[in-house]
Amino acid sequence: MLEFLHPIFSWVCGQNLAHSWSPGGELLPCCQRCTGVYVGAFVAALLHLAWRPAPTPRWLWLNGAFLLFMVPSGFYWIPQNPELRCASGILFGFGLIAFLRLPLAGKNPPEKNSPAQIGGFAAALLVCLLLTPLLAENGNALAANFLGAATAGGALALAILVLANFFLALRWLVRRISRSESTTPA
Amino acid sequence: MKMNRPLHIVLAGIGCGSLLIYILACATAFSPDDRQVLYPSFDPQSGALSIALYDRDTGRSEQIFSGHEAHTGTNLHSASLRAAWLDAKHILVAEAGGKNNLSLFVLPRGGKEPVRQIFLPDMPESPDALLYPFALSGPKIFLNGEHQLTRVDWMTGEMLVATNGILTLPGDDGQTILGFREQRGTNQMMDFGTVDPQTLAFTPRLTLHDDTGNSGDGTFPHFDPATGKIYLISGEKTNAQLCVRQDGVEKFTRRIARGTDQITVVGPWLDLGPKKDRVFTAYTSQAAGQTNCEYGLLEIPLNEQPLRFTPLFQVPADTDSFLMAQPSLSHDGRTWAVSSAWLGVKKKSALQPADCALFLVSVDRSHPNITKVPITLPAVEDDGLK
Repeated sequence: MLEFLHPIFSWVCGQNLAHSWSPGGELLPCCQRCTGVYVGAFVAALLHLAWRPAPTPRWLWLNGAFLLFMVPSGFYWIPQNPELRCASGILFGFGLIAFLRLPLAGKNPPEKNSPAQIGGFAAALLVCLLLTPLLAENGNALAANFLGAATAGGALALAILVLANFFLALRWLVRRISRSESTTPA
Repeated sequence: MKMNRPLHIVLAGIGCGSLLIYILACATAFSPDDRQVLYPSFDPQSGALSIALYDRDTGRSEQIFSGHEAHTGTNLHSASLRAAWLDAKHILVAEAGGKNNLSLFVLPRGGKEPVRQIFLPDMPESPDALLYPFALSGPKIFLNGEHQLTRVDWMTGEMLVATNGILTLPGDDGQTILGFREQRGTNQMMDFGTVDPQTLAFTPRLTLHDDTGNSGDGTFPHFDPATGKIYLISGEKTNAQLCVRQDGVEKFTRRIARGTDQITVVGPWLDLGPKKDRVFTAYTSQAAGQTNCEYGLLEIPLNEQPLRFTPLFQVPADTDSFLMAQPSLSHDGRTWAVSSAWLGVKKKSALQPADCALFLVSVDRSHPNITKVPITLPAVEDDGLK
Protein backbone atom coordinates (compact mmCIF):
# COMPACT_ATOMS: atom_id res chain seq x y z
CA MET A 1 0.00 0.00 0.00
CA LEU A 2 2.79 2.43 0.93
CA GLU A 3 4.41 1.88 -2.47
CA PHE A 4 1.13 2.85 -4.09
CA LEU A 5 0.78 5.98 -1.92
CA HIS A 6 4.31 7.32 -2.54
CA PRO A 7 3.75 8.63 -6.09
CA ILE A 8 0.34 10.03 -5.12
CA PHE A 9 1.66 12.02 -2.18
CA SER A 10 4.62 13.24 -4.22
CA TRP A 11 2.14 15.72 -5.76
CA VAL A 12 1.46 17.38 -2.42
CA CYS A 13 4.59 16.72 -0.33
CA GLY A 14 8.29 17.36 -0.84
CA GLN A 15 8.93 13.88 0.72
CA ASN A 16 12.20 15.12 2.21
CA LEU A 17 13.83 11.90 3.37
CA ALA A 18 15.62 13.69 6.20
CA HIS A 19 12.20 14.68 7.56
CA SER A 20 10.38 11.41 6.99
CA TRP A 21 9.77 8.43 9.22
CA SER A 22 10.21 4.80 8.24
CA PRO A 23 8.70 2.57 10.95
CA GLY A 24 9.94 -0.99 10.58
CA GLY A 25 11.99 0.06 7.57
CA GLU A 26 8.85 1.12 5.63
CA LEU A 27 9.11 4.70 4.44
CA LEU A 28 5.91 6.67 5.04
CA PRO A 29 4.45 8.33 1.95
CA CYS A 30 5.04 11.88 3.18
CA CYS A 31 7.21 13.94 5.50
CA GLN A 32 6.68 14.17 9.27
CA ARG A 33 4.66 17.40 9.09
CA CYS A 34 2.44 16.15 6.27
CA THR A 35 1.94 12.85 8.11
CA GLY A 36 0.71 14.96 11.03
CA VAL A 37 -1.59 17.03 8.81
CA TYR A 38 -3.29 14.04 7.19
CA VAL A 39 -3.44 11.80 10.29
CA GLY A 40 -4.82 14.80 12.23
CA ALA A 41 -7.36 15.49 9.48
CA PHE A 42 -8.41 11.83 9.47
CA VAL A 43 -8.98 11.71 13.24
CA ALA A 44 -10.71 15.11 13.23
CA ALA A 45 -13.00 14.06 10.35
CA LEU A 46 -14.07 10.96 12.30
CA LEU A 47 -14.73 13.08 15.39
CA HIS A 48 -16.77 15.60 13.40
CA LEU A 49 -18.80 12.81 11.83
CA ALA A 50 -19.52 11.26 15.22
CA TRP A 51 -20.11 14.35 17.39
CA ARG A 52 -20.91 17.31 15.09
CA PRO A 53 -19.36 20.01 17.30
CA ALA A 54 -21.09 23.39 17.55
CA PRO A 55 -19.19 26.19 15.75
CA THR A 56 -19.14 28.48 18.81
CA PRO A 57 -16.80 31.53 18.75
CA ARG A 58 -14.46 29.81 21.22
CA TRP A 59 -14.36 26.72 19.01
CA LEU A 60 -13.55 28.84 15.95
CA TRP A 61 -10.81 30.79 17.75
CA LEU A 62 -9.25 27.58 19.03
CA ASN A 63 -9.13 25.99 15.57
CA GLY A 64 -7.94 29.28 14.07
CA ALA A 65 -5.03 29.17 16.52
CA PHE A 66 -4.30 25.58 15.40
CA LEU A 67 -4.07 26.83 11.82
CA LEU A 68 -1.92 29.82 12.76
CA PHE A 69 0.58 27.62 14.62
CA MET A 70 1.69 26.40 11.20
CA VAL A 71 3.18 29.85 10.42
CA PRO A 72 6.04 29.84 12.98
CA SER A 73 6.50 26.08 12.50
CA GLY A 74 6.48 26.07 8.72
CA PHE A 75 8.86 29.00 8.51
CA TYR A 76 11.17 27.44 11.13
CA TRP A 77 10.90 30.49 13.41
CA ILE A 78 10.96 28.03 16.29
CA PRO A 79 13.49 25.20 16.66
CA GLN A 80 11.93 21.88 15.78
CA ASN A 81 12.40 18.18 16.05
CA PRO A 82 10.42 15.43 14.27
CA GLU A 83 7.81 15.30 17.05
CA LEU A 84 7.14 19.04 16.92
CA ARG A 85 6.96 19.01 13.12
CA CYS A 86 4.35 16.25 13.35
CA ALA A 87 2.47 18.01 16.17
CA SER A 88 2.21 21.24 14.15
CA GLY A 89 0.78 19.15 11.31
CA ILE A 90 -1.78 17.42 13.53
CA LEU A 91 -3.04 20.73 14.91
CA PHE A 92 -3.21 22.11 11.37
CA GLY A 93 -5.21 19.05 10.26
CA PHE A 94 -7.69 19.50 13.13
CA GLY A 95 -8.07 23.22 12.30
CA LEU A 96 -8.57 22.54 8.60
CA ILE A 97 -11.37 20.03 9.15
CA ALA A 98 -13.11 22.37 11.60
CA PHE A 99 -13.02 25.29 9.12
CA LEU A 100 -13.79 23.32 5.96
CA ARG A 101 -16.83 21.70 7.57
CA LEU A 102 -18.45 25.01 8.54
CA PRO A 103 -20.51 25.65 5.36
CA LEU A 104 -21.62 22.00 5.41
CA ALA A 105 -22.88 22.10 8.98
CA GLY A 106 -26.52 22.46 7.85
CA LYS A 107 -29.07 25.11 8.74
CA ASN A 108 -29.48 24.11 12.37
CA PRO A 109 -26.12 23.23 13.83
CA PRO A 110 -25.98 22.46 17.57
CA GLU A 111 -25.81 25.55 19.77
CA LYS A 112 -23.12 24.54 22.21
CA ASN A 113 -20.63 21.82 22.94
CA SER A 114 -21.18 19.63 25.95
CA PRO A 115 -18.29 19.08 28.39
CA ALA A 116 -18.23 15.45 27.25
CA GLN A 117 -17.79 16.55 23.63
CA ILE A 118 -14.99 18.96 24.50
CA GLY A 119 -13.32 16.34 26.67
CA GLY A 120 -13.62 13.76 23.91
CA PHE A 121 -12.07 16.08 21.35
CA ALA A 122 -9.23 17.05 23.69
CA ALA A 123 -8.54 13.41 24.56
CA ALA A 124 -8.54 12.36 20.89
CA LEU A 125 -6.21 15.23 19.99
CA LEU A 126 -3.86 14.31 22.82
CA VAL A 127 -3.83 10.64 21.83
CA CYS A 128 -3.16 11.65 18.24
CA LEU A 129 -0.29 13.96 19.30
CA LEU A 130 1.31 11.21 21.39
CA LEU A 131 0.55 8.11 19.36
CA THR A 132 1.52 9.31 15.87
CA PRO A 133 5.23 9.99 16.60
CA LEU A 134 5.35 7.02 18.97
CA LEU A 135 4.13 4.63 16.28
CA ALA A 136 6.27 6.26 13.62
CA GLU A 137 9.47 6.10 15.67
CA ASN A 138 9.03 2.75 17.41
CA GLY A 139 6.49 0.90 15.33
CA ASN A 140 6.94 -1.98 12.91
CA ALA A 141 5.75 -2.45 9.33
CA LEU A 142 2.19 -2.86 10.59
CA ALA A 143 2.40 0.57 12.24
CA ALA A 144 3.71 1.99 8.97
CA ASN A 145 0.72 0.60 7.10
CA PHE A 146 -1.66 1.87 9.78
CA LEU A 147 -0.15 5.38 9.55
CA GLY A 148 -0.18 5.15 5.75
CA ALA A 149 -3.88 4.26 5.80
CA ALA A 150 -4.67 7.11 8.22
CA THR A 151 -2.66 9.49 6.02
CA ALA A 152 -4.61 8.41 2.94
CA GLY A 153 -7.88 8.69 4.88
CA GLY A 154 -7.03 12.23 6.01
CA ALA A 155 -6.10 13.28 2.48
CA LEU A 156 -9.36 11.81 1.21
CA ALA A 157 -11.38 13.64 3.88
CA LEU A 158 -9.69 16.93 3.02
CA ALA A 159 -10.23 16.37 -0.71
CA ILE A 160 -13.94 15.64 -0.17
CA LEU A 161 -14.38 18.73 2.00
CA VAL A 162 -12.53 20.99 -0.45
CA LEU A 163 -14.60 19.65 -3.35
CA ALA A 164 -17.85 20.05 -1.37
CA ASN A 165 -16.95 23.65 -0.54
CA PHE A 166 -16.04 24.27 -4.15
CA PHE A 167 -19.38 22.83 -5.26
CA LEU A 168 -21.26 25.02 -2.74
CA ALA A 169 -19.37 28.11 -3.89
CA LEU A 170 -20.16 27.29 -7.51
CA ARG A 171 -23.84 26.74 -6.72
CA TRP A 172 -23.99 30.04 -4.84
CA LEU A 173 -22.37 31.81 -7.80
CA VAL A 174 -24.75 30.29 -10.35
CA ARG A 175 -27.79 31.21 -8.23
CA ARG A 176 -26.51 34.75 -7.78
CA ILE A 177 -25.97 35.19 -11.52
CA SER A 178 -29.37 33.76 -12.44
CA ARG A 179 -31.05 35.94 -9.77
CA SER A 180 -29.36 39.09 -11.06
CA GLU A 181 -30.37 38.16 -14.62
CA SER A 182 -34.01 37.63 -13.61
CA THR A 183 -34.15 40.99 -11.80
CA THR A 184 -32.50 42.92 -14.63
CA PRO A 185 -35.17 44.97 -16.50
CA ALA A 186 -35.57 43.94 -20.13
CA MET B 1 -28.25 28.57 17.23
CA LYS B 2 -28.19 31.50 14.84
CA MET B 3 -25.93 30.68 11.92
CA ASN B 4 -23.43 33.20 10.73
CA ARG B 5 -23.25 31.78 7.20
CA PRO B 6 -21.08 34.49 5.56
CA LEU B 7 -18.50 34.13 8.36
CA HIS B 8 -18.51 30.37 7.95
CA ILE B 9 -17.99 30.68 4.20
CA VAL B 10 -15.08 33.09 4.76
CA LEU B 11 -13.52 30.75 7.33
CA ALA B 12 -13.93 27.77 4.98
CA GLY B 13 -12.22 29.87 2.29
CA ILE B 14 -9.39 30.57 4.75
CA GLY B 15 -9.17 26.82 5.38
CA CYS B 16 -8.96 26.07 1.65
CA GLY B 17 -6.36 28.81 1.17
CA SER B 18 -4.28 27.58 4.12
CA LEU B 19 -4.29 24.04 2.75
CA LEU B 20 -3.26 25.26 -0.71
CA ILE B 21 -0.44 27.43 0.69
CA TYR B 22 0.73 24.57 2.90
CA ILE B 23 0.83 22.10 0.00
CA LEU B 24 2.70 24.56 -2.22
CA ALA B 25 5.16 25.35 0.57
CA CYS B 26 5.82 21.72 1.44
CA ALA B 27 6.48 20.83 -2.15
CA THR B 28 9.04 23.66 -2.54
CA ALA B 29 10.62 25.52 0.38
CA PHE B 30 10.53 22.58 2.77
CA SER B 31 12.70 20.43 0.54
CA PRO B 32 15.09 22.67 -1.35
CA ASP B 33 17.70 19.97 -1.78
CA ASP B 34 15.63 18.09 -4.31
CA ARG B 35 15.03 21.19 -6.38
CA GLN B 36 18.42 22.77 -5.97
CA VAL B 37 21.59 20.80 -6.47
CA LEU B 38 24.99 21.63 -5.01
CA TYR B 39 27.87 20.50 -7.16
CA PRO B 40 31.63 20.96 -7.63
CA SER B 41 32.39 23.44 -10.38
CA PHE B 42 35.02 25.98 -11.41
CA ASP B 43 34.89 29.67 -10.59
CA PRO B 44 34.49 31.29 -14.03
CA GLN B 45 36.57 34.31 -12.94
CA SER B 46 39.54 32.69 -11.19
CA GLY B 47 39.26 29.14 -12.48
CA ALA B 48 39.46 27.89 -8.89
CA LEU B 49 37.57 24.86 -7.76
CA SER B 50 34.20 26.04 -6.51
CA ILE B 51 30.76 24.99 -5.39
CA ALA B 52 27.80 25.98 -7.53
CA LEU B 53 24.07 25.74 -6.92
CA TYR B 54 21.79 24.65 -9.75
CA ASP B 55 18.12 25.52 -9.52
CA ARG B 56 16.12 22.88 -11.38
CA ASP B 57 13.02 25.08 -11.56
CA THR B 58 14.70 28.02 -13.26
CA GLY B 59 17.50 26.07 -14.95
CA ARG B 60 20.07 28.55 -13.62
CA SER B 61 23.33 28.02 -11.78
CA GLU B 62 25.08 30.35 -9.36
CA GLN B 63 28.51 30.14 -7.83
CA ILE B 64 28.21 30.13 -4.05
CA PHE B 65 31.75 29.30 -2.90
CA SER B 66 35.20 29.53 -4.42
CA GLY B 67 38.02 27.42 -2.96
CA HIS B 68 40.79 29.67 -1.66
CA GLU B 69 43.43 26.94 -1.59
CA ALA B 70 43.26 26.43 -5.33
CA HIS B 71 46.44 27.59 -7.08
CA THR B 72 45.06 28.31 -10.49
CA GLY B 73 48.26 29.83 -11.80
CA THR B 74 50.05 26.53 -11.55
CA ASN B 75 46.94 24.44 -11.93
CA LEU B 76 47.59 22.76 -8.58
CA HIS B 77 44.15 22.60 -7.08
CA SER B 78 45.22 21.41 -3.69
CA ALA B 79 41.87 22.11 -2.16
CA SER B 80 39.11 19.58 -2.14
CA LEU B 81 35.56 20.70 -1.58
CA ARG B 82 32.31 19.05 -0.62
CA ALA B 83 28.98 20.74 0.00
CA ALA B 84 25.82 19.53 1.74
CA TRP B 85 22.50 20.89 2.90
CA LEU B 86 22.39 21.28 6.68
CA ASP B 87 18.72 22.23 6.60
CA ALA B 88 16.41 24.21 4.36
CA LYS B 89 18.32 27.43 4.98
CA HIS B 90 21.96 26.49 5.51
CA ILE B 91 24.59 25.00 3.25
CA LEU B 92 27.77 23.42 4.54
CA VAL B 93 30.94 23.70 2.48
CA ALA B 94 33.96 21.76 3.72
CA GLU B 95 37.34 22.59 2.31
CA ALA B 96 40.42 20.46 2.87
CA GLY B 97 43.44 22.72 2.79
CA GLY B 98 46.64 20.73 2.43
CA LYS B 99 46.49 17.33 4.05
CA ASN B 100 46.00 18.03 7.72
CA ASN B 101 43.41 20.70 8.21
CA LEU B 102 39.82 21.29 7.32
CA SER B 103 37.66 24.40 7.15
CA LEU B 104 33.90 24.29 7.47
CA PHE B 105 31.81 27.15 6.14
CA VAL B 106 28.11 27.46 6.90
CA LEU B 107 26.47 29.60 4.23
CA PRO B 108 22.98 30.92 5.03
CA ARG B 109 20.47 30.96 2.18
CA GLY B 110 18.44 34.14 2.54
CA GLY B 111 17.97 35.95 5.84
CA LYS B 112 20.57 38.09 7.55
CA GLU B 113 22.77 35.51 9.16
CA PRO B 114 26.54 35.70 8.89
CA VAL B 115 28.67 33.08 7.18
CA ARG B 116 30.17 30.87 9.88
CA GLN B 117 33.65 29.40 9.61
CA ILE B 118 34.94 26.59 11.79
CA PHE B 119 38.61 25.70 11.38
CA LEU B 120 39.88 22.27 12.34
CA PRO B 121 43.68 22.56 12.41
CA ASP B 122 44.34 18.94 13.36
CA MET B 123 42.60 16.70 10.89
CA PRO B 124 45.10 14.15 9.58
CA GLU B 125 44.33 13.13 5.98
CA SER B 126 41.60 15.76 5.85
CA PRO B 127 40.67 15.10 2.18
CA ASP B 128 39.41 11.70 3.35
CA ALA B 129 36.65 13.53 5.23
CA LEU B 130 35.26 14.67 1.89
CA LEU B 131 35.08 11.33 0.12
CA TYR B 132 31.67 10.30 1.43
CA PRO B 133 28.48 12.26 2.22
CA PHE B 134 28.45 13.89 5.67
CA ALA B 135 26.46 12.21 8.38
CA LEU B 136 24.36 14.84 10.17
CA SER B 137 22.33 14.81 13.35
CA GLY B 138 20.58 18.10 14.07
CA PRO B 139 23.34 20.74 14.17
CA LYS B 140 26.07 18.10 14.53
CA ILE B 141 28.32 17.24 11.60
CA PHE B 142 30.34 13.99 11.62
CA LEU B 143 33.71 14.14 9.89
CA ASN B 144 35.76 11.08 9.03
CA GLY B 145 39.50 11.37 9.54
CA GLU B 146 42.40 8.98 9.62
CA HIS B 147 41.53 6.70 12.58
CA GLN B 148 39.46 9.43 14.18
CA LEU B 149 35.91 10.65 14.06
CA THR B 150 35.23 14.33 14.73
CA ARG B 151 31.83 15.70 15.63
CA VAL B 152 31.31 19.44 15.18
CA ASP B 153 28.26 21.44 16.23
CA TRP B 154 27.95 24.09 13.53
CA MET B 155 25.84 26.35 15.73
CA THR B 156 28.04 26.39 18.83
CA GLY B 157 31.39 25.26 17.37
CA GLU B 158 31.59 22.54 20.05
CA MET B 159 33.86 19.69 18.99
CA LEU B 160 34.25 16.08 20.10
CA VAL B 161 36.92 13.70 18.78
CA ALA B 162 36.80 9.92 19.11
CA THR B 163 39.86 7.91 18.16
CA ASN B 164 37.96 4.67 17.71
CA GLY B 165 38.69 4.28 14.01
CA ILE B 166 35.04 4.61 13.05
CA LEU B 167 33.96 5.86 9.65
CA THR B 168 30.47 7.34 9.44
CA LEU B 169 27.92 7.68 6.69
CA PRO B 170 24.35 9.01 6.78
CA GLY B 171 21.62 6.39 7.12
CA ASP B 172 18.74 6.01 4.67
CA ASP B 173 16.25 7.60 7.06
CA GLY B 174 18.28 10.82 7.35
CA GLN B 175 18.58 10.34 11.12
CA THR B 176 20.56 7.19 11.78
CA ILE B 177 24.34 7.55 11.76
CA LEU B 178 25.91 4.49 10.21
CA GLY B 179 29.32 3.40 11.48
CA PHE B 180 31.99 1.16 9.97
CA ARG B 181 35.18 -0.17 11.50
CA GLU B 182 37.98 -2.36 10.24
CA GLN B 183 38.76 -5.01 12.81
CA ARG B 184 42.20 -4.64 14.36
CA GLY B 185 44.99 -6.63 12.79
CA THR B 186 43.00 -7.50 9.71
CA ASN B 187 41.83 -5.64 6.70
CA GLN B 188 39.51 -8.41 5.68
CA MET B 189 36.92 -8.09 8.42
CA MET B 190 34.77 -5.04 8.83
CA ASP B 191 32.11 -4.23 11.40
CA PHE B 192 28.99 -2.41 10.28
CA GLY B 193 26.68 -0.79 12.79
CA THR B 194 25.32 2.46 14.14
CA VAL B 195 26.89 5.36 15.99
CA ASP B 196 25.22 7.14 18.90
CA PRO B 197 25.21 10.82 17.83
CA GLN B 198 25.55 11.96 21.46
CA THR B 199 28.33 9.72 22.78
CA LEU B 200 29.89 8.55 19.46
CA ALA B 201 29.64 5.01 20.84
CA PHE B 202 29.68 2.39 18.10
CA THR B 203 27.22 -0.52 18.19
CA PRO B 204 28.31 -3.23 15.75
CA ARG B 205 25.44 -5.05 14.06
CA LEU B 206 27.17 -7.11 11.42
CA THR B 207 30.65 -8.31 10.55
CA LEU B 208 31.59 -8.63 6.91
CA HIS B 209 34.26 -11.17 6.06
CA ASP B 210 35.68 -9.98 2.80
CA ASP B 211 35.95 -13.38 1.21
CA THR B 212 34.44 -12.03 -1.96
CA GLY B 213 37.54 -10.88 -3.79
CA ASN B 214 37.71 -7.38 -5.13
CA SER B 215 34.87 -5.33 -3.65
CA GLY B 216 33.97 -3.27 -6.66
CA ASP B 217 37.18 -1.30 -7.00
CA GLY B 218 36.68 0.62 -3.74
CA THR B 219 32.90 0.84 -3.95
CA PHE B 220 31.63 1.11 -0.40
CA PRO B 221 28.85 -1.32 0.58
CA HIS B 222 25.40 -0.10 1.55
CA PHE B 223 24.20 -1.17 5.00
CA ASP B 224 20.60 -0.99 6.18
CA PRO B 225 20.50 -1.37 10.00
CA ALA B 226 16.68 -1.64 10.02
CA THR B 227 16.74 -4.91 8.09
CA GLY B 228 20.36 -5.95 8.70
CA LYS B 229 20.87 -6.20 4.93
CA ILE B 230 24.18 -5.36 3.32
CA TYR B 231 24.54 -4.64 -0.39
CA LEU B 232 28.02 -4.99 -1.88
CA ILE B 233 29.89 -5.43 -5.11
CA SER B 234 31.96 -8.60 -5.09
CA GLY B 235 33.92 -10.75 -7.48
CA GLU B 236 36.74 -10.03 -9.86
CA LYS B 237 36.88 -6.93 -12.03
CA THR B 238 35.69 -8.74 -15.12
CA ASN B 239 33.15 -10.79 -13.23
CA ALA B 240 31.63 -8.40 -10.71
CA GLN B 241 28.30 -9.04 -9.11
CA LEU B 242 25.92 -7.32 -6.74
CA CYS B 243 25.39 -9.30 -3.57
CA VAL B 244 22.72 -8.78 -0.91
CA ARG B 245 23.34 -10.52 2.40
CA GLN B 246 21.28 -10.77 5.54
CA ASP B 247 22.29 -12.59 8.73
CA GLY B 248 25.32 -14.00 6.92
CA VAL B 249 23.13 -15.57 4.23
CA GLU B 250 23.26 -14.53 0.59
CA LYS B 251 19.75 -13.34 -0.30
CA PHE B 252 20.29 -12.03 -3.80
CA THR B 253 23.05 -11.91 -6.40
CA ARG B 254 23.24 -10.75 -9.96
CA ARG B 255 26.12 -10.47 -12.37
CA ILE B 256 27.06 -7.05 -13.69
CA ALA B 257 27.84 -7.39 -17.36
CA ARG B 258 27.05 -5.87 -20.74
CA GLY B 259 28.04 -7.83 -23.79
CA THR B 260 31.79 -8.02 -24.21
CA ASP B 261 32.49 -4.64 -22.57
CA GLN B 262 34.64 -4.56 -19.46
CA ILE B 263 32.33 -3.08 -16.85
CA THR B 264 33.78 -1.75 -13.59
CA VAL B 265 31.62 -0.47 -10.75
CA VAL B 266 33.35 2.69 -9.52
CA GLY B 267 30.91 3.81 -6.85
CA PRO B 268 32.18 5.41 -4.67
CA TRP B 269 29.20 3.92 -2.83
CA LEU B 270 25.89 2.21 -3.48
CA ASP B 271 22.67 4.19 -3.16
CA LEU B 272 19.22 2.75 -2.66
CA GLY B 273 16.26 4.96 -3.47
CA PRO B 274 13.30 5.29 -1.08
CA LYS B 275 11.60 2.37 -2.86
CA LYS B 276 14.66 0.17 -2.24
CA ASP B 277 13.96 -1.69 -5.45
CA ARG B 278 17.28 -0.93 -7.14
CA VAL B 279 20.87 0.08 -6.49
CA PHE B 280 22.32 3.23 -8.02
CA THR B 281 26.04 3.61 -8.58
CA ALA B 282 28.57 4.74 -11.18
CA TYR B 283 30.29 2.51 -13.70
CA THR B 284 32.99 2.68 -16.33
CA SER B 285 33.03 0.60 -19.42
CA GLN B 286 35.87 0.04 -21.82
CA ALA B 287 35.21 -1.42 -25.20
CA ALA B 288 37.94 -3.50 -26.88
CA GLY B 289 40.52 -1.31 -28.61
CA GLN B 290 39.36 1.93 -26.93
CA THR B 291 41.74 4.14 -24.93
CA ASN B 292 38.95 5.95 -23.12
CA CYS B 293 36.25 4.63 -20.84
CA GLU B 294 32.59 5.47 -20.75
CA TYR B 295 31.45 6.80 -17.35
CA GLY B 296 27.82 6.75 -16.37
CA LEU B 297 25.03 5.71 -14.07
CA LEU B 298 24.36 2.04 -13.45
CA GLU B 299 20.99 0.98 -12.08
CA ILE B 300 20.86 -2.55 -10.71
CA PRO B 301 17.27 -3.64 -10.08
CA LEU B 302 16.85 -6.00 -7.13
CA ASN B 303 14.73 -8.31 -9.26
CA GLU B 304 14.89 -9.82 -12.72
CA GLN B 305 14.59 -6.53 -14.61
CA PRO B 306 17.58 -5.78 -16.84
CA LEU B 307 20.49 -3.61 -15.73
CA ARG B 308 20.26 -0.05 -17.00
CA PHE B 309 23.38 1.79 -18.15
CA THR B 310 23.16 5.54 -18.77
CA PRO B 311 26.44 6.75 -20.35
CA LEU B 312 27.35 10.34 -19.46
CA PHE B 313 30.92 11.22 -20.46
CA GLN B 314 34.36 9.86 -21.36
CA VAL B 315 37.25 9.40 -18.92
CA PRO B 316 40.83 8.26 -19.64
CA ALA B 317 41.38 4.57 -19.04
CA ASP B 318 44.05 5.28 -16.40
CA THR B 319 41.72 7.35 -14.20
CA ASP B 320 42.10 6.31 -10.56
CA SER B 321 40.33 9.13 -8.76
CA PHE B 322 36.76 7.85 -8.78
CA LEU B 323 36.62 8.18 -4.99
CA MET B 324 36.62 11.95 -5.51
CA ALA B 325 33.46 11.91 -7.62
CA GLN B 326 30.49 13.11 -5.59
CA PRO B 327 27.39 11.58 -7.14
CA SER B 328 24.13 11.86 -5.26
CA LEU B 329 20.60 10.61 -5.45
CA SER B 330 17.74 13.00 -4.69
CA HIS B 331 15.63 12.28 -1.61
CA ASP B 332 12.69 11.22 -3.74
CA GLY B 333 14.92 8.81 -5.66
CA ARG B 334 13.96 10.31 -9.02
CA THR B 335 17.18 12.08 -9.98
CA TRP B 336 20.80 11.03 -9.86
CA ALA B 337 23.38 13.81 -10.23
CA VAL B 338 27.11 13.92 -10.80
CA SER B 339 29.51 16.70 -11.73
CA SER B 340 32.51 15.75 -13.85
CA ALA B 341 34.53 18.69 -12.44
CA TRP B 342 36.50 16.35 -10.18
CA LEU B 343 38.30 14.92 -13.22
CA GLY B 344 39.44 18.37 -14.34
CA VAL B 345 40.73 19.26 -10.88
CA LYS B 346 43.48 16.70 -11.06
CA LYS B 347 44.21 16.92 -14.75
CA LYS B 348 42.53 19.26 -17.21
CA SER B 349 43.34 17.12 -20.18
CA ALA B 350 41.46 14.23 -18.59
CA LEU B 351 38.27 15.94 -19.56
CA GLN B 352 36.96 17.16 -22.89
CA PRO B 353 35.56 20.69 -22.46
CA ALA B 354 32.20 19.45 -23.74
CA ASP B 355 32.17 16.77 -21.03
CA CYS B 356 32.77 19.21 -18.16
CA ALA B 357 29.26 19.56 -16.74
CA LEU B 358 26.76 18.73 -14.08
CA PHE B 359 24.68 15.77 -15.27
CA LEU B 360 21.20 15.20 -13.89
CA VAL B 361 19.63 11.89 -14.80
CA SER B 362 15.87 11.46 -14.33
CA VAL B 363 15.64 7.82 -13.38
CA ASP B 364 11.87 7.63 -12.94
CA ARG B 365 11.25 7.25 -16.67
CA SER B 366 11.43 4.28 -18.97
CA HIS B 367 14.18 6.13 -20.88
CA PRO B 368 16.29 8.28 -18.52
CA ASN B 369 16.26 11.95 -19.38
CA ILE B 370 19.66 13.67 -19.03
CA THR B 371 20.00 17.37 -18.22
CA LYS B 372 23.48 18.70 -18.83
CA VAL B 373 24.55 21.94 -17.14
CA PRO B 374 27.87 23.01 -18.71
CA ILE B 375 30.84 23.98 -16.53
CA THR B 376 33.59 26.07 -18.08
CA LEU B 377 36.98 24.40 -17.75
CA PRO B 378 39.65 26.89 -16.53
CA ALA B 379 41.92 28.07 -19.31
CA VAL B 380 45.01 26.57 -17.69
CA GLU B 381 47.07 23.78 -19.22
CA ASP B 382 48.20 20.78 -17.21
CA ASP B 383 51.71 22.19 -16.99
CA GLY B 384 50.36 25.38 -15.45
CA LEU B 385 50.65 27.56 -18.55
CA LYS B 386 47.77 29.69 -19.72
